[in-house]
Amino acid sequence: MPPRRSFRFPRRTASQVAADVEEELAFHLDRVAEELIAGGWPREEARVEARRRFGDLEKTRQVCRALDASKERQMKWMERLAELGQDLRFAGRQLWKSPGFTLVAVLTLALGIGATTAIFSIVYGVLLRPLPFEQPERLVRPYFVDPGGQTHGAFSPPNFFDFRAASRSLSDLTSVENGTLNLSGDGSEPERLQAALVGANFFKVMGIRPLQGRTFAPGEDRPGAPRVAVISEKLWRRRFGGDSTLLGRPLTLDGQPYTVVGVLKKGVQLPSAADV
Amino acid sequence: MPKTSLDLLQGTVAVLILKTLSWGPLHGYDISRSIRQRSDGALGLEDAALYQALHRLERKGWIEAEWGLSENNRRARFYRLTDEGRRELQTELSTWRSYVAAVSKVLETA
Repeated sequence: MPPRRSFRFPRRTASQVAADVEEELAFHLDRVAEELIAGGWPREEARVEARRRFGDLEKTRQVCRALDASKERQMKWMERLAELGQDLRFAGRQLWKSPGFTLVAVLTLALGIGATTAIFSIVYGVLLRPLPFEQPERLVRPYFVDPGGQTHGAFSPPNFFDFRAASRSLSDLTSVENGTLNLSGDGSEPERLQAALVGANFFKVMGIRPLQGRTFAPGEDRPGAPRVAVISEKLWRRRFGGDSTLLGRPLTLDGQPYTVVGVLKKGVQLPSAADV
Repeated sequence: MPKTSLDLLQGTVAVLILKTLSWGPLHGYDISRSIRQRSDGALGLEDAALYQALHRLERKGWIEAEWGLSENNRRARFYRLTDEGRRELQTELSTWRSYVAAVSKVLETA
């Protein structure tokens, strides 16, 4: 009687599997033949008869090989998993035995990962994240140099219109001015808002589409045109509770009557965190 | 050696092998002889089917194989029931008993 397996055999290769199947079947056929010879069969005929009684030898050979090969693969994986488990348990015990080292290692990792994440978040937000506009790579901010060699980022209205008229390398040019406005007169408490005063083509140039309503139509920035405003989704939800009937309603900004024509989706921010 | 007297269903071969191995490890040749003798020759399991079933059961993990020496000192592959195989045998036995009881009940009523 064979002893119970107490150590691990190396896994068998495909040719070893085939050889094992061959040996096992040969053993069986020989035993049957011996049995027949003992019963009086001539040696050669006994061998032939043993084969005949066995049935489909070739098919059996192939089925057994395929089954054994798949068993070997399964065992290999299970052993690998078991080894991995042992390694992990060993690592755990070692760490448990030297808590000081463990603490330092964990802290080092935590700080390292934390710092990397923090820096990446900043770099991504500041440098890598594409601007939330259509075709941000085509967006430029012009500066001009005055005769005295000074660089200016702000254009006076006449300069802006001259520049827009004369420019041929830009498909369009728009204007924006940041400021603050007081919102009042709608029954709630007055509020000071971040605002941007933009040219009527601002949204077209930036490729911004509104969440609700519309953006500005050409000509709405001319003097004397009715005053219209586009508000941010944040303001819309916070102050007006996401009321969809807000469009077309009047709004008093800095004491002037404006009409709300559109709401911008969250994430699409005007040059700064403007609300109006 | 009588030829197969009763055709065996595949699941039946498995439970016969498991039962035979429940007394201790055996190689294929002895399993074949044991089944034939215990059924008084009525169950002549074809050897081809026996060996395919043995390897299938090994693949399932119900039996384990190991090389050992046979009575006449030749290398032979011995099969042994695993714990899982022992549990499987119990399940199969109770299934078999209720199956036999149910079929008999139908057939024996006049």
